[in-house]
Amino acid sequence: MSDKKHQVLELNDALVKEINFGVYSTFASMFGLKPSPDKHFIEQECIAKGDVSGIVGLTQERVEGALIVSFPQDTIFQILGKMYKKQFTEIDKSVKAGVGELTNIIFGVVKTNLNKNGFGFKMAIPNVIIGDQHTVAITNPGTTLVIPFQTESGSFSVLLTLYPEMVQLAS
Amino acid sequence: MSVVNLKNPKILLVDDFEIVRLMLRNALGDLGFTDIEEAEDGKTAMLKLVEAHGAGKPFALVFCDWNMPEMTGIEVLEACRTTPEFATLPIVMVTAEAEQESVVRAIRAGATDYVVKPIAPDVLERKVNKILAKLAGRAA
Repeated sequence: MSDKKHQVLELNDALVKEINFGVYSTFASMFGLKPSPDKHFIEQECIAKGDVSGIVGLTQERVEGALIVSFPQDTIFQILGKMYKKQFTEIDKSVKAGVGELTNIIFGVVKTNLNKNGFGFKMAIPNVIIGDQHTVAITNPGTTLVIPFQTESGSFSVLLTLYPEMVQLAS
Repeated sequence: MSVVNLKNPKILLVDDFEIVRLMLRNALGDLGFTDIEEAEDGKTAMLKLVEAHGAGKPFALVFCDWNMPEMTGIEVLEACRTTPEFATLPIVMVTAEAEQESVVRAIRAGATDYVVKPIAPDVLERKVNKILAKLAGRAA
């Protein structure tokens, strides 16, 4: 049985850089969009403020936290509308699947690059949550990194929340 | 004997996510490839492959997602490699995982190549051109 201990994730500039890269490369390749990050910040709670969010668990030896990509309805309708060449009026199956897959791809990029640096994150399947201002249900909320992004199609946010045992803030 | 159109080869996109099939269709369209069909699962993909082959209009290239319910990409790959008509069919695995272990597994299972989402247009172009060049070499 492997006794390997992986690196512990810190909510620091290096992580922000990895997330920014994951988001940028995904949006650029898929939609030709160039999301620009606003100033990131740390919150004690984990509340995804969008209308539809993709959520994927971060797991090393155990579940350590979650990565969340959260969209206001207008933003995701615009982004997917250009791709599908249609106007979305409700969060339907295509929108949900689109958000799920976007989250999957962003997570894949972030995970690959983190794992090159000694983190042993495992692949996970995203879930999609719909509803205004959803709180990610964690029993003991840890510290959450929030990165707002702007695109020509609207804004969205990426959150990374770690369970309390894993929290280490940059000094 | 069926003939492959190397300028606009018949391509099959296999992925359970519509958005990924659309993304690939658009990217391939930008490269001038428009003879594209889609399958949203492995079983449908196999049916389309058999049907096209039987009609004398076989697919020249397949892009296949790794993670699909019921019949995974690896299972599609293995089914093709054990069927004489599709043993040498170029199949490019599409995945969100870039880890070496996954790449090795795909190649060992018989994948022709491997692309990682998000797929950069220049990477896609390079890989498709490489496959078409090889097909041209076979046809000569």
